Amino acid sequence: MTQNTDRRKFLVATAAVTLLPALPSFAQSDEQAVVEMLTKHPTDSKLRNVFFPRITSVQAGQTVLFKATDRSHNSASIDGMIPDAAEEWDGRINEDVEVTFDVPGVYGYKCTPHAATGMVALIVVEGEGKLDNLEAAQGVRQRGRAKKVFEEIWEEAAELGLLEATST
Amino acid sequence: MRKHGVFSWIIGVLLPLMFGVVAARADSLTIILDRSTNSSELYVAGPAETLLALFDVDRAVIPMQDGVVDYSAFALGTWGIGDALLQNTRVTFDNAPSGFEAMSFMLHPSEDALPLQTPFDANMAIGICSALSSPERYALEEMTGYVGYFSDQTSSASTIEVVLPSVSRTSLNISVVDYMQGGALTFVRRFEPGEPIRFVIPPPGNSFRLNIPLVLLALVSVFAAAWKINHRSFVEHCLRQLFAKHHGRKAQPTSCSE
Repeated sequence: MTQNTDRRKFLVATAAVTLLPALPSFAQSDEQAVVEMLTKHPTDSKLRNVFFPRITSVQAGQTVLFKATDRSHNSASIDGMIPDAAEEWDGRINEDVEVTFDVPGVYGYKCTPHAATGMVALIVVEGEGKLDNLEAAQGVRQRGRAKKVFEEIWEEAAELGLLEATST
Repeated sequence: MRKHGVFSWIIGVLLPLMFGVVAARADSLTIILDRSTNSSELYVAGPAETLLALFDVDRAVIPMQDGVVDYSAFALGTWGIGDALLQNTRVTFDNAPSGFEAMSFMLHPSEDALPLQTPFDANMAIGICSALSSPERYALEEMTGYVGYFSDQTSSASTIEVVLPSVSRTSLNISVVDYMQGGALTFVRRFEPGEPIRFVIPPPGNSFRLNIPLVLLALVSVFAAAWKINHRSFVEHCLRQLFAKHHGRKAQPTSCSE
């Protein structure tokens, strides 16, 4: 019985450690969130060319590091998918880039050469008015597999409560 | 002895050479279709020059510099090349537009051919990966092109028709790998020189049902042939008896009579 309980605790702990990186980052404003640019998904070998995690939640003023873990990727904001008052970014291929998000809202971004193969992702910057650009962002036409990936991302973000005005 | 030597020479040297020449003159393309319940993906791969010729696209669509492919231009995405390749080609789902749009196009050296059996392989091949930073540069003739298309329409139960804008220059083999839920169907369609390149990929269930009569026919043929071989002597015996009776002669026993 004790052995079973220990085993269960071990499995739960293992699952938590394994799944934790897959969850969106809910880091506090003084921490830096990290998004890796990968050619191969770390846990699903069938997925190629991905940002990991693909949904990140940060506080206004927080910085995100887009880490060029694998080659041939970059991070760039998608036209029409960031708040009006926010600044666009366009990282260089094979290079890390840090972006500070001061304006609350949803931010769609892409890897420039791999966007149409579905290498797109979302950052939600918490704060007042964070949903102001949601409709505009969701209305942006996506190319190729990015359509499918963004459909999944919006659904996932909604399930996580990130697309509610008072999400944590 | 000399005769034997001549035959050996023909079989050992000439025939492989002849087959080699025939094989070398045949173009080939690979098409991988990935049918999902809410989307469709189509991948095409083949020698770069063959791709451009068969899809009737000018080679100027590929960025070149000093006679070699300019990979640096690929960094902004290559779906424009993919769209250009498809612009003169018709792909339909049950006679309606398929809605395919390019995801990516990539060139890899033909000498290092990539595996191309599954949609996953193809998805890897169209990705712009280490080539961007590789110092190696190749002429178009030395490269194989890989292009992928996505449609948000399902084709899981559709007849898909592909009509290319050109005719085959030489013999052309198109290998089609049709992925669907539950497995894949692979077939090769051969086109002779000058033949319009047009083919149909049947809906998943139909291709199997269409083959059932053929399989049954083949089985009946095999059984009939086997029966005929085993009973030939009996039939022959009966005929001989009939023939002898008709001519008033005594039937000769056959060596293998029943």
